[in-house]
Amino acid sequence: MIETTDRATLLFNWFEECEKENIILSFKGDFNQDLVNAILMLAEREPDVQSGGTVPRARVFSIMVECMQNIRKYGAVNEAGSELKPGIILVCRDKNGYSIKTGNLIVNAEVGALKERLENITRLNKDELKVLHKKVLSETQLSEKSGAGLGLISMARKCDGFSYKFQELNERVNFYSLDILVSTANR
Amino acid sequence: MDPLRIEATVDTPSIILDPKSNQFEISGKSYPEDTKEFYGSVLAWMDLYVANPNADTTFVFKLKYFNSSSYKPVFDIISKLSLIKKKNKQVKVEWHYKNGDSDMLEAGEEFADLSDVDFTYHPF
Repeated sequence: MIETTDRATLLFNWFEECEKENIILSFKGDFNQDLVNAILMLAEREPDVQSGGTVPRARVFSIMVECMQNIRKYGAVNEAGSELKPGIILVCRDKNGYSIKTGNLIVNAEVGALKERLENITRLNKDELKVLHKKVLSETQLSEKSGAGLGLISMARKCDGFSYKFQELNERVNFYSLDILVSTANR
Repeated sequence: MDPLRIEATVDTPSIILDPKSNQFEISGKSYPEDTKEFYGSVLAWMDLYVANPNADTTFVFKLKYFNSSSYKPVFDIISKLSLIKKKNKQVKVEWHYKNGDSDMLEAGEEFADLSDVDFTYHPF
């Protein structure tokens, strides 16, 4: 009985949190491509996403794809030997626009390099990002891994600010989270 | 040369490459998980086509959305079109974008900057 009540409380707290933070879409699980497609379909039909205007809507969609496919490609598994790569995504709406928040596990040894790339990208303004994007695109050879780092650059170009955080969970993995803003102002 | 036709799926675009009807078009959404797998046959087909192209080729891109890993294969297709130009045959790109989607227009302009093929822009 107590357990049931606790779960109901948990559910109610989550419900309240969603209302308070204007969370219009949330998902936690293993992001495979079928799920990515299903989540995008939900996002496309969401009235709060549709009302944002052509450019913000396309940007939210684009950022969601990059983030979810990155979790799939680069995320760490939940425990050694498992194939599941847990991730979480929230899309929130407020009067200024949207925020897309994602989180996933990342192997500790990969944190340094990712942090460095994120730091480099946050230092650049939109024009510099555009130049870098073109440079990476034209210099990437066919043999290189698909994308070749364009994902973070195009995400940075499409958003109106982002922040990131790493939290070490144990000797194997960190929890890596991103908070990305897409403004609907002046569009 | 045999045409290449691929039906669109939820995350891959429709492909129509048909020298006989002089139709070359990629349209829809492109964000497959494995872009190499999807675009491999398209790029292989393009290699054969540019070896013996039509006198006048208009290549239509009509994408609603593409992910960052689709940039490279799209750029590769455009780079192959440039080889047609080197053979002194006519070639151009028609870049269609959803009306109001300035990001998609800009993406086309950036591809054009990196290529010597002529681009025209068309909202739909």
